[in-house]
Amino acid sequence: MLSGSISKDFAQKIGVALANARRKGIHITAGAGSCDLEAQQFANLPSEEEQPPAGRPHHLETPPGPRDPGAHDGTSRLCYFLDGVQSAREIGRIEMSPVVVATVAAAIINRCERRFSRMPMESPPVVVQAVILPRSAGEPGVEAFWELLIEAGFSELGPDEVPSSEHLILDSAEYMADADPSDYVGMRERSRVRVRALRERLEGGMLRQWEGDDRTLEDTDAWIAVDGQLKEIRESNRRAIGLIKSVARPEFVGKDVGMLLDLEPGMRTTSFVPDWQLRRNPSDHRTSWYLRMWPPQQGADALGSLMRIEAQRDTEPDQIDEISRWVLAERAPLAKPDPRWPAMIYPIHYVEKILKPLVQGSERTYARLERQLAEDPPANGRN
Amino acid sequence: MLHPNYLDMDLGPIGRVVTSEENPATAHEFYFWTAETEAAQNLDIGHIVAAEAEDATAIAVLDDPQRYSDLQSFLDDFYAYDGDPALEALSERVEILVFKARVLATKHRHEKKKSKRPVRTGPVFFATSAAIEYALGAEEFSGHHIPMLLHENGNEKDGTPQRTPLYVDGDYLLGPEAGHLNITGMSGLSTKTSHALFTIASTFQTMKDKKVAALMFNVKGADLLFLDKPVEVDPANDPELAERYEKAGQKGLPREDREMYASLGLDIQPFENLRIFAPMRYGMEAGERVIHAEGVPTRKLNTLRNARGEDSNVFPIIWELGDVLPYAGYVFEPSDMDDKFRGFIEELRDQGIRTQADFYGLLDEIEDYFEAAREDGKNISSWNGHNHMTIAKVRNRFKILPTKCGGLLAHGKVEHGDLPRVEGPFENNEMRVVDISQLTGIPQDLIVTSVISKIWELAESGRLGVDKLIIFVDELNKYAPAGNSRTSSLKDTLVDISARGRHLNLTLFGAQQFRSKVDDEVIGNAATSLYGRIGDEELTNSSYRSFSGTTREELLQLEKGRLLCRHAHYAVPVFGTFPRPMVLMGKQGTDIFGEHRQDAATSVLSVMRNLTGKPPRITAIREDIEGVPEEKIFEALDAVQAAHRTGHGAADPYKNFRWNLTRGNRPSRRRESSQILSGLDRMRD
Repeated sequence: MLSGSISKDFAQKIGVALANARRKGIHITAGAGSCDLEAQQFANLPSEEEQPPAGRPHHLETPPGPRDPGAHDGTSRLCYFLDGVQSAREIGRIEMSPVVVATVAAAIINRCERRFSRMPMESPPVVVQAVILPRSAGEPGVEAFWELLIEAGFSELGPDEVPSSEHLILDSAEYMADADPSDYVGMRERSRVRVRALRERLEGGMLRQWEGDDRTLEDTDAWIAVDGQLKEIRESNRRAIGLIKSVARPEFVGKDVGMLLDLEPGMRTTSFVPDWQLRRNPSDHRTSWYLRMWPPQQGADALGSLMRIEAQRDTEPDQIDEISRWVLAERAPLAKPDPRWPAMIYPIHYVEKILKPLVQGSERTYARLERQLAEDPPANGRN
Repeated sequence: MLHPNYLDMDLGPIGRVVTSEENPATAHEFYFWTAETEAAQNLDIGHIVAAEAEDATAIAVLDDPQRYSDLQSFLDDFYAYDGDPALEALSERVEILVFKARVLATKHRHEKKKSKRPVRTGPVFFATSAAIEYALGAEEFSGHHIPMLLHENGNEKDGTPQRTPLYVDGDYLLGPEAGHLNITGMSGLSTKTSHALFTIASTFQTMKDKKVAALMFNVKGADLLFLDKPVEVDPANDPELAERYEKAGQKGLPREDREMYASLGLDIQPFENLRIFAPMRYGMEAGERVIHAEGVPTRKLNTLRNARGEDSNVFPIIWELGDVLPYAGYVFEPSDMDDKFRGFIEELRDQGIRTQADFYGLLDEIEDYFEAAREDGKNISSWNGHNHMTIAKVRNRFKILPTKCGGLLAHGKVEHGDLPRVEGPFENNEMRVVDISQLTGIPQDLIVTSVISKIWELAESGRLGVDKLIIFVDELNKYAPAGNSRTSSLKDTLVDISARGRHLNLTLFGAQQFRSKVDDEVIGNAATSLYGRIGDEELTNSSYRSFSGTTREELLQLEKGRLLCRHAHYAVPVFGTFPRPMVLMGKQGTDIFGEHRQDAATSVLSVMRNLTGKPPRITAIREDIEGVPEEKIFEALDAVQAAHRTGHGAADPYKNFRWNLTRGNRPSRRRESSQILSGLDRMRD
């Protein structure tokens, strides 16, 4: 019951801070009950992974068009798979500042002899829980509660730091120049962004560990597939690919979009660097290409079974073909019942399966905290 | 851990309890998924595990395994593999094995408290032997712990499974708390009889402080005729006999059976006190007015246990007409048994007619009566109220009575002397076998009905001679059928034994192929039931409704030697095994100990081995009988044996045998077996 005991400590620590806040006259208003940030209004916002393209991508192969990577032979060098999950909830408010609690989890699994096992790591922790407050917005009550949380045992996280503690406190307004403490909606969205950033840091920390792990270094044929974009990856690591399963908006423009929509199952596009990456630091440039895993499914659009794959910037076309064949070899077993199965591979589905109980296990903790807040009568007679 | 001694901590957790809205843990069952450890790979139906509730440990037996994956449709898998079954996917879809566990017992952490609380989500362990014994109520037994089966659990040590005897409570098997055993199983697998023998042996060995005996009916070949013979012989002790065992293909007990006996705490030993009873073969009776049972040689009996030297424990069943009359309903056709016919038979009983000679004497008297009346000019048509036509019908039907009784019925009076009788009192640890295998139909039913009825009377009068008597009756669906359509005195007696037998120290071990076709009272009174392999037509019956689907499927294909046991103390039926019989069964008995396997000298030696502690050497016997006709040798031998059977044997039986052998032929004084009886008489003199 690893996640259970962590959640219990987490709730206890917050409970201590809440009790002290009450004594000090800091009023924290209970939330409206079940209020999952992941499920509410932010769900309709586009994923950060798929920001709208601003222009034409830089094609690495010419002419742009479909390519046949060849039939897979049932082999693959993908032996490790990394994914992370997150869950966040607003449990209350200090004035107009939301108090958000979050749980993120990440793991790497190793596939050996067709079976999966979790890759044990001493650090970073598999599950991290955090309280997110808009501290930099300048609300005195928030600042005071922040201090109480530190006293209760929460740790702060530095700008580029990988989480090493299981219980963190994060500032959702940290990088905002003129954060408005009355912008409740904006603060909530910032909290969500902060949660996602926390998950990505956790995943990045794990990828770093994987790169330096003795087992990985010894087995130079073993590659890792990361769910999502390749971030936080070192230039020296040439054995990682990113699998972006949701293509909300294609990176192509013009007639290339038609080519993409007509892409046959088992075919890939020519490689490219997305426009939005071109506008970033060259170290953030990756080689991308689309691969259609399955025919478009009934009830889904033509983008439904497309997967964008990222690899290191200078990946050659032959290697792109080979990687495509590895991914195509993952069509069996099917990644069902995940609704994104046509653009997903089973090992990533498996990692999500094992991680989701870890964050879902926090639900009871959140509910308890909400009850505690609702039961505490306000010291000043309000509410 | 609440009860560490109940959990196999060496192997560690083998699974984890899961609860869900759809499948919650209850007081009587829970679910758990299995680990992927080597130990957990052994988990199977019938194994016993333990898991914990808040303050109690639940011990449960495994049922209904199901393997799950998150695949929603078979079609999904088909498409994923492009319809190619040979395609080796890079990843194995995750599957889990989930068992349903049915709770046998729950032990609270405090000795005096009871608990029925469902287990919590948590680790599951193999149950230790201590846990299994507790779960099967052993602590609450009021009587002897009688090993019934052996449970083999999945927790192995050096490749050997954990073995735990499945005990039943002697007070619930043989009374007085409850009683009776019922065994169901397909015919032909010899499981029912083998297990009945095993349980009887187990009872004999366990209940040392009580006198126990058993009665069985041998209905097939030589199945139960050599129960006093060991299943194997040490060549060092008797090389000649060991060779005969080997020639007969009798290889003895395999190692695993020996281990099973050791685990059960039982010795491998035959029934030393075996007595076999059999009727005479049809036509072997010469029609004397008095027949001396002790003088009837075994060769005349309708049994396969008739070799000289092996027949000292074989005794005849000979009936007078008076013994048959109460069972006239079995013998005669129902169409003949009208009230007038029945009335005359009652008349015969009232008149004290005991023998066929008496009967025909009476008929002659009646004939004389009618003849005298006719001579006097009287028109009399009846005698004692019985019409002369009825009497003529009786005479006619009684003519074929000896044929119908198949050698059971003697013409004259039967003198049993001191010879043990089939319906007589029992000795401690006596295994009494009534051999009806060579009979068919009516005589078979007559013997079974009569023997059981008389033993019931013996029990009612408290003259059983033992504290507990076990009666094994196979084919209960024939003798005690379900429903009211057929009633018989045997069925009534069996129902009586089932209902009241335990108070009279009588226990019924019943067996049948079709449990559903046996009388409800007989079945319902059995506190212990065993189930072997059962056919699907039978399994669909309501008698098996309480079993889970998996258990029923198991019963369909249960291997030989494995049974499902339901006992008064068991909350849930438990599967177990039992070893092969510790005695010689079947054809091997006659192959090894039959007359045809021996020459005359060996027969003489066999007899002498039974009669004296210092038998002659075979070479000496061969010299003594050289040139003597075999028939004469055997007559002399039978005479010596007959004398000993009545307790009048000579001090030196071999000397007496040689004396018989050297005497010339003497004229017949009584009947065809005069040589034998002359020897007997001489011994008496």
